[in-house]
Amino acid sequence: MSGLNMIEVRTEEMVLNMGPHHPSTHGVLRLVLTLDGEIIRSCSPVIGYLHRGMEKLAENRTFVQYPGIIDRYEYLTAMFTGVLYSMSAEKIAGIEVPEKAVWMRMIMMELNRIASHLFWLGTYMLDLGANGLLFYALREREMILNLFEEVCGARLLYSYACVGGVRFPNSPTFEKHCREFLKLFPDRIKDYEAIVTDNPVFLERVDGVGVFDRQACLDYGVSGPPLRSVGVKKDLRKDNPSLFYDQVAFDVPIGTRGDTLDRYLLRIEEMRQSVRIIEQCLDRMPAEGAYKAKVPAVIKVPPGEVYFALESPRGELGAYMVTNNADKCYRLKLRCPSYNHTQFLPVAIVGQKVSDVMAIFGSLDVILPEVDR
Amino acid sequence: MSDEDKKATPEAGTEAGPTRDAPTGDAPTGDAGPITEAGSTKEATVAAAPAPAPAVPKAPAKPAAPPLELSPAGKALADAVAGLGFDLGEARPDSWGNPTFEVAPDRLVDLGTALKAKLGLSYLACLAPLDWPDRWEVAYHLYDFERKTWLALKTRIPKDQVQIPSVTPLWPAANWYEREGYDMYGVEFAGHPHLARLLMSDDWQTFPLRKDHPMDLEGGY
Repeated sequence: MSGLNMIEVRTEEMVLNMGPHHPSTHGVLRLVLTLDGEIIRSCSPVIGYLHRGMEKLAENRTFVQYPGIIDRYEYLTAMFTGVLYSMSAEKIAGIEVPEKAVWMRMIMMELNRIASHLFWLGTYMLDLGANGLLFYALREREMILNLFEEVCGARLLYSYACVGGVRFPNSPTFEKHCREFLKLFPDRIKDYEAIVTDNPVFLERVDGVGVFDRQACLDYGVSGPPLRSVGVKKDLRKDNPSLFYDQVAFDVPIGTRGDTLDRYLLRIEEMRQSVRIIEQCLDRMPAEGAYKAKVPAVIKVPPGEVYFALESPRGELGAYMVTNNADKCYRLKLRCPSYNHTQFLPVAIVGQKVSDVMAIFGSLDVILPEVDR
Repeated sequence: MSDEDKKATPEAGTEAGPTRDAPTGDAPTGDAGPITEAGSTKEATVAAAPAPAPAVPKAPAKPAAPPLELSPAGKALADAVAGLGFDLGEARPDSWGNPTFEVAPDRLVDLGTALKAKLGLSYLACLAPLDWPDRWEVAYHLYDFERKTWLALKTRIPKDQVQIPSVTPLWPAANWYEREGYDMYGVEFAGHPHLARLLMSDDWQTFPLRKDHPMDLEGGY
């Protein structure tokens, strides 16, 4: 009896460095976790490993040069970043973009949204330990990349949008190939859902895991699918429509539970809605017409400022641009959804199990180059 | 390349001050204040249409800035903010119709508290410091879920002073934005819980986004 009492069990909190090269961080992120057994007591993200000085470069590169750089800022949604930068400058300078270019931008952005969600789907399943779906998801993403390649010759960093319109005219076969993809894709989404959505192993990992608090999401500036999963209907395509988003019909799905499963379901549904949008864009895009406004070779933007934002696959992708009658920005602040999401991460995971960190972090769809800029 | 960059940066900076100084006044007519030759024509066309604009001497291909006006939602929000009784003057629209208010640094937290409590603006979308030749400026962008628009607050401090009250206790999202502001500009947000470098390494000495910071440091880091 007394022998048993002599065994003293000593417990202490353990500090665990997750990253910077953890395979599931989708970039270079270090999480300093304090663990009490399996439970996370505190978390502090360390970022900056991929800092490339995007905002400084914006002040030192002209409006013609910079669209080629801003693609690198968020390489999974390079169509969005290019359109964001170009439209900010167009807003200040009052440049009218030809109708055809606007429809092309929308088509490209929505295709990019599907591609980004597909890549998220594949890698997220990888994070959860399901290797198979990545190959299916990338198979369809490949079709989209082929479409991009057909239009602008690049598969990842497009330099497609430029101030005044888009850089390349449509290829003659683009519409045909795009419609083929749109015809086939909804069935493929059904395939993913058949593999994943009702899979008990998957549900065990995500159902009821990482439930976000609505007010905390608002306080930390969370946007995109994570914000909609807690029931806040904020989609800038509906609320602050730019381009021709007010002329196309689509639905914004919102979640009710705010858990990881909701965020998965929202992204799946968003892909379906994107297909709807692209179909309408193709129907309404004029066959003829200019794809680029007449802008001078050296673009000078008059003094002004604008906060402009687009609904990227990750959330509110904003740019605060200040110009000063020069061929460069005076200041460009990039507002990245992933930045806020990474900041929000400690709030989301404290009190959860360490095995759920990647399930929750993955569901935020953070991409680190965007955080560090 | 480095030569060119070094030259370009201060040049853009000196041009900036007076031109940007003007539109920050409350009345739109204040736009025609002290003006450099580069900005004069543009400012005149923006500010007052009836005023005879001086002839454009060079670069006729330059696009003219469109007249700025508040969006309907922005106007509703600006009216609501004016109703709080802070005497902020007229709201200035930005190029997307969002209202911008100028606020003194010592009233920033009071105004933010009122905005959050009375108008429900708890969503800080963006926070960006700016380096003007004569002052620091910090721009806050808040999203209004009710009226579906952004509200910009701007506060400015003189160049020799780098202290500005922190809004992190009010909007937790400001935490990293303020740390980044300190990291990149050296602006100190007084009252921030943990004002340390964020993107640059901890032992970094310079503030890279300042306008006088060269694009490449001689002799490496």
